[in-house]
Amino acid sequence: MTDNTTTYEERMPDALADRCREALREGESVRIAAATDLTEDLRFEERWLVVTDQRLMRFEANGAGAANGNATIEFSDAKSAAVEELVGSGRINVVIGNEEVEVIRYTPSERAKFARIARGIDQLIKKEPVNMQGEVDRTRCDRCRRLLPEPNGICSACTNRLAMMRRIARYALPFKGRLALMVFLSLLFTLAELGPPYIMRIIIDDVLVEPGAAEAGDATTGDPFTFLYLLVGAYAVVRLVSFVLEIFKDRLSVWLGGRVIVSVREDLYENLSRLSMKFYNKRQVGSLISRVSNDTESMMWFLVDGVPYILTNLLLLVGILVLLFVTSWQLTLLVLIPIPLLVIGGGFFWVRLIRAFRTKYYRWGKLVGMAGEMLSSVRVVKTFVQEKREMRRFRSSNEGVFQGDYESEKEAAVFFSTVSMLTSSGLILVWFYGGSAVIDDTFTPGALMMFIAYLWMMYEPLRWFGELNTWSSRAMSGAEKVFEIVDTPAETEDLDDPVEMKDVRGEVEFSDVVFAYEAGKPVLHDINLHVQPGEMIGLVGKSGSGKTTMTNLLCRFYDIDEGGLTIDGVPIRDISLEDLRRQIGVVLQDSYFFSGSVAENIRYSSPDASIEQVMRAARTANAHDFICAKPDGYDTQIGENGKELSGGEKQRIAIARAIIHDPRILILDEATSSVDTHTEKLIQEAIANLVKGRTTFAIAHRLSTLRRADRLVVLDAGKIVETGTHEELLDMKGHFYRMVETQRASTAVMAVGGSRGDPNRDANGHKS
Amino acid sequence: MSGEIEMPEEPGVDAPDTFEFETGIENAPVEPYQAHEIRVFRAPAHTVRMTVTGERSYIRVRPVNASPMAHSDRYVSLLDIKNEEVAFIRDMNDLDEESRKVIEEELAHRYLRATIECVHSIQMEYGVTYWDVTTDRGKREFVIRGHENTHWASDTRLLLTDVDGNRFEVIDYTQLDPNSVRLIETNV
Repeated sequence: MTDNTTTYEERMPDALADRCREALREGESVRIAAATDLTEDLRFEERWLVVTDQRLMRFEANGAGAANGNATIEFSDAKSAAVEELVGSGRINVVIGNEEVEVIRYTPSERAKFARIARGIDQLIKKEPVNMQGEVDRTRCDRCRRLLPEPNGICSACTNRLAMMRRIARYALPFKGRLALMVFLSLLFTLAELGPPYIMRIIIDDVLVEPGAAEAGDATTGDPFTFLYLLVGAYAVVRLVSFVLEIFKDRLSVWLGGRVIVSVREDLYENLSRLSMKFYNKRQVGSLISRVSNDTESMMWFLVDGVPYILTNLLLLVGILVLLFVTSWQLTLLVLIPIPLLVIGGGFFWVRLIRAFRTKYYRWGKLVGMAGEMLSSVRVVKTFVQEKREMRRFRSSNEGVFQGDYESEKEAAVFFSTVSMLTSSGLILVWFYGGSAVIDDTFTPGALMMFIAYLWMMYEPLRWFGELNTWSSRAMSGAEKVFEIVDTPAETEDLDDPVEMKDVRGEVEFSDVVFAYEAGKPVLHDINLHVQPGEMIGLVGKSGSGKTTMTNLLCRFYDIDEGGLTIDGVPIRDISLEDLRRQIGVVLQDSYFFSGSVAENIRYSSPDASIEQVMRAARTANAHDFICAKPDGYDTQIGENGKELSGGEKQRIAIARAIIHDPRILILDEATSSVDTHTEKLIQEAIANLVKGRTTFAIAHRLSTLRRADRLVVLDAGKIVETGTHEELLDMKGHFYRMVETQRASTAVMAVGGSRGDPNRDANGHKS
Repeated sequence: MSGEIEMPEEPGVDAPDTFEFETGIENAPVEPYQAHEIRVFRAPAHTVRMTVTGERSYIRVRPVNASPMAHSDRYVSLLDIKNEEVAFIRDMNDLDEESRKVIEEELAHRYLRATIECVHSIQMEYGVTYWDVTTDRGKREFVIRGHENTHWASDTRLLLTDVDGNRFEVIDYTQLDPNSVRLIETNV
């Protein structure tokens, strides 16, 4: 595949490449060669599309095809090309005569690629300059060729754990001292843990079994009781020390893990708020929330519990093995026999266990979801008298949870029993051979007891080592997902030296603007519009015609693909984002409020505004009266979605918020909708106050809202089709006239042509 | 047109009584042309045209299934270029032979949902499921993320949507070979 945007070539199989070369005419050159995964009769097989500057050919992978007349389409016959999305597949159609003829089919896996190709074909047919720019999503991992869980996603299998660990470790660097202390404490703790069995051995061998040995072999007093008390005292001290060490060590690791995650989460959150709208369009909010919560949590869990656990247990394991070998290497080799079984068996059961638990959690989630759904739609359930049915649904789901619970616990029981059985098989061996050795007098009873005690200590962590892989990979792929966002650059970023614009007059110019959310499917073409400072523009058109997209470009939520967009003659790309957004205010149909008081919400854009400024803004927005009427006035707490407020109230608060923001350029997106006529009048007045002297773009389906607009711009399928005052547009009897007629006919809506002063009158002067 | 509304049957739920609407049905929008009134054919070869017997002709219509999963063999709606319904077919048998054939061909082209005939492997890794299957349309590998994209339409019918939006279906998993059954039972 070449990087050039004027050709697109995938490597053809040899037979096909030969066949294709033969088929080419003199001077004909290949522009596109692409494989699809679907045949014309919808089987999953490879087919090839080869496009030259003269025609379009289809081949089978072995090169058969283009000789057949049906498999070739000459561009001289064709008018245009476009993709058509069907259900579960898609195709490229070429218009020949009055017909759309299918050229090639593809599955949704190849959708993005063929959208690009279709654009290329269309441009070739129309002899326009070819531009097939656009990214083709990566669907397979570059390294292991595994299919990726999401396009351009991360291959969990190829996550470089070491690199990830190193990166996480960097977050811990500021806490070097504590980190070192924790490692040191872990070492001490391990030593302390190893002590008790050894003391036990001395007690048994030197005090209990052969009290004489103490007298003979030692310079201490001959009293076995004193020796015993001394040893027991040592035992107690060692236990106490390890107890204290454990507490400090655990506290430290929780603190460290927690600190690291706090920094990671902070980086993640900071970058999330910086990322462009384009980024958010491609992702689901849910999956992003899961990165903030689940993925950081799985990292945290691993850091707080996993890493210290691995550290201490590895140290312990090494210490135990050394001591065991020193005591009796033959017996040690013997007890190592069950260990591979333990690790392998543990791993095997772990997979089943995980599966059972996953099912359980899935069902549990469904049950919770169902209960939530019931509670939030309780009115609907009750009005349709469906309580019994809901109960039945719940009961069957509840039963499913029990089954899942039972299954997983069953697996768990098997797992743990197997582990203890394997463990005891090691012990049996020790009792058998060790016991014989004691009788033969080649081994002391104390040594045997110590051996057994160490064995218990060793097997315990070993049974969990099977899951280590799962633990760490989950944490590491979580880490990778988190860092993916941390590393994503904000797509619309400031230039190196953006133009500062503290004061804007509000002159806006779109020239030949082309824009597509998704490569190959432009939603705006050839937009030309020159707006004078202070002018109010009404954007009119069906939904999907590109009205909101135009305003999105103005806010620079997205960058335009072609053409120019300037504010006061400065290209929008050159203006610093902060300055730009400070000059633009948006009032949306669904205004979003933050939890806080009414006053705080009004002064969201300028937290320093005094309460008097807030009130002045609210008064201008016709909001002051109703706010004062509330028991808590401006201190009324409103929740996330402004639950305490009616639709009209929300609108006016949003307008007050925009007034205090004092932007030079204003965007009103369906600012009056679904409110009664009296409220609408209040909002209209508020808007009239707001738009004074500001360049305004107003979007509305209800054409009445736009009566004050200086000019109306009618959009259809991404193009400006009409521009003018409403009188002019009505006289034109074009798109706008038809829209007004339809609205007048379908509802008793106030028409735009009506008297200016009174929004409550329709076109015929009737009170509505 | 009768005043009866058929409610979808759900297993385990009492079928509600038939409702008699006094006004609702009277006010319901007039249904467009029906099967016996129309003829559908190709003219020219790549364009589906519909004529209403003795009345008028729609140059380009698009047959779609109103309920492609639950009732894939019934309830076909013919849409014109503006996506407005021009005809509604309750039962394909009400059409003449040629019309039926054309519509069936068009529907077969519109809906691609491969039927899984054999499951070779299902691997679960990191919350993602890798499937390797043979379908009625050939072999295919695909990836499914999460439980939401695995939907049991009944106790035995399984609908799958992979990460790209490809659709797959197991009509009755108990009828597959034993290995496939085991894989589905342990992994889905």
